[in-house]
Amino acid sequence: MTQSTTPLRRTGLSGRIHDFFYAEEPVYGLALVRMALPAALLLAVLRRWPHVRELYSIDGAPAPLWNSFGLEAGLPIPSAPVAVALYAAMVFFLISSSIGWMTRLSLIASLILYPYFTMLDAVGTITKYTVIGTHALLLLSLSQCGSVWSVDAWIRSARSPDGAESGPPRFAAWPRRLVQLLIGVIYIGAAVTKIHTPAFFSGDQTIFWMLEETNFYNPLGDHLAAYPAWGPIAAYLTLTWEILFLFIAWRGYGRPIMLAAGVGFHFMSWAVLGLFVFPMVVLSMYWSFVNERDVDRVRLWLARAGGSSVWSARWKRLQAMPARTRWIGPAQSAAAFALLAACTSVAAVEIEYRSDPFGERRPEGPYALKRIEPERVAELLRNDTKVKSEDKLFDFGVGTYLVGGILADRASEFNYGDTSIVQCSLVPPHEDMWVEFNLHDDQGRLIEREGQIVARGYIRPSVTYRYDESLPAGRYSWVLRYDGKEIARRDITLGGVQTVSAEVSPHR
Amino acid sequence: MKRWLTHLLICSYLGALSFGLFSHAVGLNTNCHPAMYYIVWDMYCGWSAFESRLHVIGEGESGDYYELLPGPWGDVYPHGSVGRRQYDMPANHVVKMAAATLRHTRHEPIRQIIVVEEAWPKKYNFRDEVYLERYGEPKERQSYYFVRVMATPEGDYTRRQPQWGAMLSQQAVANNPRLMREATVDRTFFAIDPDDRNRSSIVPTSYSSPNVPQATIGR
Repeated sequence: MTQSTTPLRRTGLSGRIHDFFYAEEPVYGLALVRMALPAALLLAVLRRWPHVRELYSIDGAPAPLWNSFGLEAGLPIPSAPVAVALYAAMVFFLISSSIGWMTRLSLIASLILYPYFTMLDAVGTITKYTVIGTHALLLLSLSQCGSVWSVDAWIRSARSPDGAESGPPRFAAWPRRLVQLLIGVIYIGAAVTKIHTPAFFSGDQTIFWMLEETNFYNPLGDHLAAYPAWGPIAAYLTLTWEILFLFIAWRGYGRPIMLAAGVGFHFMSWAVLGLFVFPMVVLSMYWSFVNERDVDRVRLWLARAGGSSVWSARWKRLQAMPARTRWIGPAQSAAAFALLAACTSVAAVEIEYRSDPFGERRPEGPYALKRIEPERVAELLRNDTKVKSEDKLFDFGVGTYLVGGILADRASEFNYGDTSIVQCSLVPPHEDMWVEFNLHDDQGRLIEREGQIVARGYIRPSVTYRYDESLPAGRYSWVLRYDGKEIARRDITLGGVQTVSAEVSPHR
Repeated sequence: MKRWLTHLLICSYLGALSFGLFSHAVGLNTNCHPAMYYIVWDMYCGWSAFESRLHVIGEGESGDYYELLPGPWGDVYPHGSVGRRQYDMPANHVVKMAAATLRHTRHEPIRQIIVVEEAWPKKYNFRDEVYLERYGEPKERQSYYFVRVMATPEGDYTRRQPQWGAMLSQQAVANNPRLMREATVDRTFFAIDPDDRNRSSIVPTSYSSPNVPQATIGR
């Protein structure tokens, strides 16, 4: 990674691969990742700060990842003061990474502490976004992402004020390329997961995830879950995008299309699933697709918009500051960094101790356990093993067409010659069932009985029914029956002109 | 030399990612080591039509029952609005979490820790107005309660049951006298379960009892 202003240009496959990884460039993209990623990680890290003792120390109830894999021995679990001190240091290092202060050291320290803490709590901390964040911290720590747009760069410019005139330093592109490849591989892995999950393509998996309440709030989930027919369409679009990303997100139109699709996908993962930190982490890594030309374009655009002169003047003033404050050099910066990190940890230990999270030093002594009323105990211990009939039904409707095997519309008025599809969705798992779709007239008389066995692995039985002229016009009801009783009913109206009196049974 | 080290680093990193992808695609040793969690991208690989919550209670020697999780000092909400224990649906860690509560509270001697799963169909998670529009009647959610784990106050398991959904699945399969007759002939004292690295590899025989639905069949 030597500094140079001469871009590499080689021919042939090996030359192109060489250029792909080793072409030299300013590290704008990774500098943006460096700023955004720790901020995204901090959203989750700070949320857990009041519970460090409980989650990560032997004084609480850590749930180490290795135990979930059947291993007893793993990394050491710290005492409460050590856990608090290290956790506070991790917060400090993530912040200093983001602003680019002692960047390499901050990133390496974050790389050690962040996965350590996540692995100490397999229940409430480690998730795939913490894994993705760990990968990104590793790649950032291998890069020169602190060489621009950072406190370090600002301090260096104090020592060499002419540096700004010679342009930003250039380094081999491979760390940025590895971040980009990581994103693509994650998406391919996600696509493999979906291929392994048939219910993803029927939309069932997504619909039931949208109704889940264990993620953050989502504004659209249950509204969209009420229209399940879009599920198969969204499933195939998502799979296509995830597979294509790795191959066409590099240049030309492919890059903005894939990235825009990714932003849309991750936005929807918040809007319908309530995922919040995961999209922020992945989207923060999208900045790795920013290259030198993009930055030049933005600068040009700003210059045209008239904002450049203002920002340029401010940046020059900032760069000029060190010339007046010569006492800020690398040594002073390192000393201040170490002092602040130590103070942060010590202060955190003291604050946490005073907060007494388990209430053991309260004047009235430790908390007493909360007694549960006998009625509630009886309810909790009743050990149900059967599902009520009405709870086996998820949806029942009458419509006219299917998308991916799912009833896509709802209809209540039909004419002679029309065909309706009557479908119910069952809540899995269920036993082998006998399910009836019965057509009744407005007097309650049974006109047609459509029964079928629904095996335990199937959740969406349906019948197709053509309204011919054996039925007089009027009001009818489709009745869903199983477990020997009526479960749900949908009313329809048969209208139109009855041209011929027929005696045959309805066709299906 | 530095260039070669960089080559090696790039190849090693991409090799690790590729191995994780391959392992995930063909199902090869995906859970053989905690490190695999860092290279296998299996986000959202499961689903359930039921929403579940765990209740962790303690039975005192007096016969009274006490809430062990959340502890009296409050709950931890790691990802949203539900407590930390709800992300341990396999119930691998909640007993240890309950034991920690016992260490930090005043209480009578506790005879056993009991983990109960409360489950309800997710259709009851529709907002009231959406539910009314969809089902034509007001929402009246009723939960199912199912004892998952019994353990000593020290955290040793004395009884363990599968999750609610798994129990229903196994019940559907087990409702077959011929199958169950064949499946329960010649049972061993211990059921060795090396395939599932998310559970202890040695579990009591009751694990494969027909009365405890997550039997060896159907797995």
